[in-house]
Amino acid sequence: MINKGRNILKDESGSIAVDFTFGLTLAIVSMGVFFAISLTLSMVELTQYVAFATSRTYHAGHLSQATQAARGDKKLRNLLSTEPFKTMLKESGWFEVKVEDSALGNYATEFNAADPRGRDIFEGAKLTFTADILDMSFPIIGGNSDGPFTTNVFSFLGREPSTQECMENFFKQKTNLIQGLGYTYPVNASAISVVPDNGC
Amino acid sequence: MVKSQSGQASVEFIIIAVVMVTISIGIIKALRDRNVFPTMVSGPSDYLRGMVENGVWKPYQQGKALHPSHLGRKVAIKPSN
Repeated sequence: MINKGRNILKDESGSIAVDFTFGLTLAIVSMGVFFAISLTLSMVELTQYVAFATSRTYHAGHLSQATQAARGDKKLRNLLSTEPFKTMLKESGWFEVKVEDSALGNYATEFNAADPRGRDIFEGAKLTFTADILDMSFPIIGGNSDGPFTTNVFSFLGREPSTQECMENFFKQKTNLIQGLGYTYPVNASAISVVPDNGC
Repeated sequence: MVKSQSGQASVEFIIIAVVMVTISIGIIKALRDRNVFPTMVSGPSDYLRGMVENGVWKPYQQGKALHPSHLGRKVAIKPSN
């Protein structure tokens, strides 16, 4: 009911409520955005640790490269199935870590390394991290056409040579070279067996 | 009746509102056509991805060549004379 004694054009009562409504909306939206960004950066750090731990397990020597990769993958799945990773990095949540068949290998070609087989500098773990929480759409003015923020998280620690590689690439070749020197041995050459001394 | 000014403010409010809405729609359309807001989000995310993947503040495709593992300071496989 309008009070006819008041000039409604000059009436400023209620303006503070309007300002408060706008201010509160802006504050909540800003807080939401900053919360999402902060949490995303924290989760990237969490994923970085998972990649590091996976790469560290892969690094240790074993029977073959396949076995080393299997051990690394086992470590990865074990980590992702325990807290806090299980809750924070689960599928269809705010954040997700996708792993292909194996997260481990040599990624030198992906980084266009000039000498991909020269050193094992790009050997390690690769995880794909997706932050669905940042898949924000802006009403009226347009959405995020690129989809959620997705990045790869790498950890390159290299890899120790496996027993198989030591035997085939080092000890057997060394044995063949020694046998090829032309010396005669007191036993049949076929009776000689290679005994690795963990020196490769 | 012709000289009556009652209701003039309401008419002017409507005209001003029409002008403001028209300008707003024009600005919003221009922003949408130029993908201004999605670019504001995806632009920095390219740099962020570059930092996460390569450790340098560059878009991730450009930063691949600057990954620290490219630096030849790891081990001396071929020691110099």
